[in-house]
Amino acid sequence: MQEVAAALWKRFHTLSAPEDFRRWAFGVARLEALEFLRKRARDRHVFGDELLEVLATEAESAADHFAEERKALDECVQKLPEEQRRLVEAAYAPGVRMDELAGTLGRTAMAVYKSLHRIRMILIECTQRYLEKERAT
Amino acid sequence: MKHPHREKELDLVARYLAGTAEEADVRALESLLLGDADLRREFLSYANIDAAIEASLRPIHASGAAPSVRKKASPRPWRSVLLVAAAAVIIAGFAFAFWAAQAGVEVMVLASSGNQAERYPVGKAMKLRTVGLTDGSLQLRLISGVVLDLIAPLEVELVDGKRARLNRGSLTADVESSGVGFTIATASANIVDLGTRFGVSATPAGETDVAVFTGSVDIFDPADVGEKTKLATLLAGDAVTINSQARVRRQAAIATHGDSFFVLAAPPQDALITGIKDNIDEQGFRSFYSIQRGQMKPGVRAYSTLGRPRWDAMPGQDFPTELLGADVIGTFSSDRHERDLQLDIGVSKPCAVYLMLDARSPVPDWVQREFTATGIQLRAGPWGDNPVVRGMTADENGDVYVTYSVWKKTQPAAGSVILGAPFPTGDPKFRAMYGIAIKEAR
Repeated sequence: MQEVAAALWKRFHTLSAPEDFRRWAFGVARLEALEFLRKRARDRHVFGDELLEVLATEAESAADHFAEERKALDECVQKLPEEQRRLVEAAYAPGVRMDELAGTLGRTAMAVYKSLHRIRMILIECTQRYLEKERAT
Repeated sequence: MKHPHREKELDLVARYLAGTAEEADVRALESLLLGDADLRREFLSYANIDAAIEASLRPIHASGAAPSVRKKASPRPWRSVLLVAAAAVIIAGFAFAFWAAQAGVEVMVLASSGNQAERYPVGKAMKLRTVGLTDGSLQLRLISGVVLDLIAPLEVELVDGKRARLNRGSLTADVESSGVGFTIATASANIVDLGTRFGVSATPAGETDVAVFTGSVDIFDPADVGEKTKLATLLAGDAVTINSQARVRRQAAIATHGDSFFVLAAPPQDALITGIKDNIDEQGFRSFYSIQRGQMKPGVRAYSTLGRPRWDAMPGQDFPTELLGADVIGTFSSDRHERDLQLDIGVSKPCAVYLMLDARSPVPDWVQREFTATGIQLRAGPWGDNPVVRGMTADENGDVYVTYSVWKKTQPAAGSVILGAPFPTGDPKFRAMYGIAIKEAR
């Protein structure tokens, strides 16, 4: 994100009018993101350009929805049972290695992955419910 | 949006985002995503939540409240896609700052260390006029695209997006095409960038050191209003000192640090290497030796004029412990043509001097007489298209490395270390200049 923010700042002078800002920012961010991913093209564990282009386009058009999801997330994390919340906090600590975390918890890495996957699904469901409730009121 | 229960596909998504999916899984997921718009929505939503969890927990981790098992994180290349969605939110803050602020030059803080880190938070857009550092360093991006690396102690005045005045201390400017023409003014010189990375130091005596790492710069007398008469044009690998009478002389050694080189105003008082001189006396010759203090390790630059070749261990070996932490002198590749070369390196303490000789060539007599072979080999690379590596075979990654044999001599006391020519009798064209490392005796 920092690289994209820096790239946007670098290209700021190419912006002609403030009202174009949003479209301009998306355009620059998209170019930077795709350039970054193309640099990694030799890494076969990354999606190809065609899918990335599609995902970038759809991410752009769903940006407002994602922003709402992120707002709702704080509420949902607080609602997690204590054990799940502590697992999420540990797993998302900067630079954490899943095998080492699993070792400290006395579980296998696969078991920790599965737990985190379940928790993410719970959080996605929770954010959807929250947003639907918001829209209904 | 309800998420359909598709355990297998979402498990693939989870493993891809965690960076643990095998190549076959990635290709399978790619194929599924290309053909399924619903799954793409779920993928993006899942990735968005994953990124948001990390962001929402950052304050907890910063406070140290969360348990952690820290080490190198898995790469998460997918995040770039989400940047498209999130960048506008962040940049809106910068835009506001840009239009709202009234004084100073627009900058963004890219890096900050030392006491001023709180005053100049990383990622913050701000307007600055005079920057004074007593400690640490600061990296700023100007709206013109120029990036300035500032190293304490320093005082610099940002005049506008295309001009800065360095009152004292040392800065390095990285100027891309949109910033060409960026000018650093000092008491004794105006340095006009022509698209480059260069370092400037202003000394208390009113002298200015300029070193060019890539590209070129023009230097003008500050008394020359309108900058009509050039004092000098410097190319990559050149360094000069300009005194208060606008006299330009070669600066043979520049203390640098960092991967892409930052110029330092002067070596510290306890520096092991006190200076470097050579016997090259040609009109217009301005190449410099770089001194990288304590930097000998894998990945450090081998030559002052070449950005690509880096010192590295031989394949399958660890980097030699004996050399780790030594001061590295970056020589310049064109030196290899000097059959009468004499280098005079001043040292302040007893030390071990290491020479890295191109293993393809005979060892010069003066090395055989004064040095002993350590049996250690190092390599430097990857090399670009350079006569030095003509005829060599690339490795499996397509890179070409030159192997060097390491020779050593002990310097028993402070004084001069004299080195000779690398190829006094052979043809230097297709061979590499030697490298130098010096380590304090323990």
